[in-house]
Amino acid sequence: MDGHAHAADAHAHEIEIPYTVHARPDTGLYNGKLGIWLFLASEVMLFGALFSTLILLRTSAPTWPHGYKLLNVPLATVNTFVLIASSVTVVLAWAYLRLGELKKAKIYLALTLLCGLGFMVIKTIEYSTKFQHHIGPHTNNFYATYFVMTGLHGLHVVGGMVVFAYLLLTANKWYAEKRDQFTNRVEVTGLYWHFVDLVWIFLFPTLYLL
Amino acid sequence: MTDTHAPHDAAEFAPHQHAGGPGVEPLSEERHPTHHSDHDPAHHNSPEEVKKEVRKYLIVFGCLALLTAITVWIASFHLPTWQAVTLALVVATFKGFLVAAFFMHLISERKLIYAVLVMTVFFFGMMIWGPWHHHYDAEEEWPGYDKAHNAAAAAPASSHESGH
Amino acid sequence: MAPKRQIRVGTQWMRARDAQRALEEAIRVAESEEREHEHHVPFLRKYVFSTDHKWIGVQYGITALTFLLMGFSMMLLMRWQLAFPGKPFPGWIAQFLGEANAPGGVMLPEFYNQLGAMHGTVMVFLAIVPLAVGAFGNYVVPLQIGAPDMAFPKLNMASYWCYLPGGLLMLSSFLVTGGAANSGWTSYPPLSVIATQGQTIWILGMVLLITSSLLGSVNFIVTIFQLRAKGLTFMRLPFFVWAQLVTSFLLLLAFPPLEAAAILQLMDRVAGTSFFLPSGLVISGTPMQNAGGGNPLLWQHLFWFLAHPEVYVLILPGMGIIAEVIANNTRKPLWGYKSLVGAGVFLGFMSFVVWAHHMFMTGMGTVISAFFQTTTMIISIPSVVILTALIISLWGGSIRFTVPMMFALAFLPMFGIGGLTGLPLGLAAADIHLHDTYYVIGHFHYVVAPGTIFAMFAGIYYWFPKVTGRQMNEFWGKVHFWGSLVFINGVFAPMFIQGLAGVSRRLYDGGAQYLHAKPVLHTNLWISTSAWLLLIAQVPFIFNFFYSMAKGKRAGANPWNATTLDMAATTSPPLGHGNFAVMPTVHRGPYEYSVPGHDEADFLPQHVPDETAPAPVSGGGMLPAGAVAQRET
Repeated sequence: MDGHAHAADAHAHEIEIPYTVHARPDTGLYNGKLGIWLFLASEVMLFGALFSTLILLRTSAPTWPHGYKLLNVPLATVNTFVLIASSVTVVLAWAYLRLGELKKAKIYLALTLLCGLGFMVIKTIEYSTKFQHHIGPHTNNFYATYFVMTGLHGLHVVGGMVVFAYLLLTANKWYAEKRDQFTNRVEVTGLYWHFVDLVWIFLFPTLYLL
Repeated sequence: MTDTHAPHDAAEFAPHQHAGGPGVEPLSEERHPTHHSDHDPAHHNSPEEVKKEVRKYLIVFGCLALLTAITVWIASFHLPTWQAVTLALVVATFKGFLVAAFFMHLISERKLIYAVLVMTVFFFGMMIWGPWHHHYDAEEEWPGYDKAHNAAAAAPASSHESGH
Repeated sequence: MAPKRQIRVGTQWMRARDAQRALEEAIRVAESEEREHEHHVPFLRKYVFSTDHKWIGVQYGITALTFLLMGFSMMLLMRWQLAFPGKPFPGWIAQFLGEANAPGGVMLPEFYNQLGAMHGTVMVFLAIVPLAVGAFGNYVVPLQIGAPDMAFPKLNMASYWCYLPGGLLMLSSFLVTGGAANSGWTSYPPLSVIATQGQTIWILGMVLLITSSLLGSVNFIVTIFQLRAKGLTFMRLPFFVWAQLVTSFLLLLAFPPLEAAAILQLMDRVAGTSFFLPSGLVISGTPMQNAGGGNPLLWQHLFWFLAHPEVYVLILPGMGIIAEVIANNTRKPLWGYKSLVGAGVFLGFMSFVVWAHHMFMTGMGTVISAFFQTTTMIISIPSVVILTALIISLWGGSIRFTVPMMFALAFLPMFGIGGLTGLPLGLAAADIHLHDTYYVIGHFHYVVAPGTIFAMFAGIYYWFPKVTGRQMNEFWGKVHFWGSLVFINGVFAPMFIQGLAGVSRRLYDGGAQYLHAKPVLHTNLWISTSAWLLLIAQVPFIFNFFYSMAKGKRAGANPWNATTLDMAATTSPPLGHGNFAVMPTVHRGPYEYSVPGHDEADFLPQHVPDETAPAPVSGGGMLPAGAVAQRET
């Protein structure tokens, strides 16, 4: 999802990188798409290491508290719906871009951003409730894994939101000058966002319901 | 997705498409435009196709919402741990499959991406298995060897109430 | 009639020395003309925050070599303590170290531990991988696949600018209270959790370095898949590119677990969690106040999950370089190209499933232990296949003993020793005796030092003319080679003996406290002396490197008469303008040397069309005195 210079640039960046926008015939992919899938593979290993941590610590501990006893299940359920909805909105944004309807696409991008914000607000409520009772990662390993896993996930949500904000703010300019590349960027960011949703789909039952 | 194009063999990046032709042209898009419709599932841009996709997305959304509700409902039974874990994982996996297959259109993606993901899943499995099995295996051979853990569980460090 | 002892240059006759000067002048004029036509690119954009893979490769190279020297120096300091336990350093060194680290000039054990941990960290993460992947990979891969740059140039720049701050951050930890990280490069908890603040800095530095690696690996894989030139199928790729591809997959998938583990250790250190801290831990008589219930072995699993693939990251690019140099200097194709590729890919895959052979002494049950012994034995097979293919490649070759080739030839038996000595370590029964002894240090250093570092030297001598347009001095290169070969063996061979005698690693006194170490203690002096002589052997290299950049003999685009696409690019391709005047098309495999029926030259480059053009002019090589100045297009 990266760039190369415009011909009008004063920079000596006249190098054009092939297959930035259109797919290479034999691989069937454009660069950004392959790039983001590779990145997501590495993210699977990152979160996987944390799941491995949880599994080891939990199965080797003689006792382990139930998430539904200690955590706010209704709030987290709402968060799950919020994130799933945001996945739908981003994929709709991309669909509308391909249909050439920039206005609708921007609305859906904004909705995605809003959902992300909603997720983080609920997360903040959850965390601060715990902190107010002097409960934190230091309390025990259940809370340690809860805070680290949801915290890292939350950081990823914020990261995605930053990119969506950038895309939204620059949408008009990009759409006018480099429509296909912009569509690709939305697609690629959307793939990242779906992955963030996917992680939560596993995190939610694992931490809150078991 | 409506991509019925026969999948490429990821291992065979043969020069068929490149055979012949002047070998000295710059590798730019202007000279060698790719034909999107054959290769790029993302670029089926006709309004009808996109609208079909949109319908699909909304159906998937509905399924996901339903499955989420089901997950929470099953959890309320407080089944014994192994059953609870298995059910939760099965449902979560199916939800994940829906997100990956349709939102990320993995279902019509290139073989190369599949190959990377299959490999990743395998290594992920190894990483989940290793530490756990180490403990499990050792506990089987030398029961009670992990005294540090057994001591831990009895005394969680600070007082905390359950609830929110 | 030609004047005596003069050569013709253009329309003039002149003496050879004048001809060389005329050539230099012509090149100077041409370059300044080119500069006038260039857009004016600000210095910062061109040389500091460059997005050109060639310059980024140079940045990585200079930075990595500097860190390599620093890591080497750390070890040289340690070797003083091991050779002369408790004796003060010479005055100027003692002054440099300061009273905090070496009161009265005598190294403190705490400082020894810092040097040990940082030597490992610097060598692995700041020197070798950035050199092998960041420098050689970045510079050469796009050239060898006929690409104008990497797939994501800005990401490439970001990669470097995560690496440099990460490295500087790591090294800055020497200056804080308590000094640098001192729990080994392996940072095992609980020790690393209770260690001084240098460990926190280590963790933060690692996060930056891992980020750099991840960005880079995505870039490499996408570049190799997507930007290959026309006609460059996977089975026509130079083995160097295959090696970099597998390496990048290793970095991509193996680093994240360490990143996660680093975060967990950071939390243990600063947030009071107990991921790795077991219950009931008592430090110096005081029970720890944490919640407990953690598992130190969890760190080991997550750490080695990365660190084992990491060692293949250390060796694979080196093997790639050796393959290129051998094919080029035997003037024949590599033997068993398909086996090499298959073995490389298989090696990469297997590297993910052997990690716990570093943990045989942690109380593993028989099932898991058997599993990892088996996979470890299996992984030795592709290594042997690769080494064998490279050795057989020499058979029937017309060997040119250039400096790169000498390093490549030495690599073969040195890597052989390193690999073979790994076998007893991979078997749990033998490992009981050898684990954590100097035998292990000997084993892995043989693979990385006379193994990978020799491959790096080979690569530097081989690609120096391409990068700078000048040749390094051959004589001093050979001096560097022989000095390095002799003394590097002097450093590491005795370590096997020490290890077999049972001398543990990471001991401040080098084993003096143990009775069983007594018979082999004297080898400490041999090892240390060899290490200091090894330093001296590097001086001609460092001098040669910088001197040749300014004053070396001019080289053409293809100074070694090689067949790969990197040699089709111009000499020292300019920054910011792509690499090829005309994008190449590939017509054949990468090692078409001594092609039967092609009598004009003993090599046929990949990009030369079949049967049409006359034999390629031997690339403008080292311009002999009588040559006419050739301008590359």
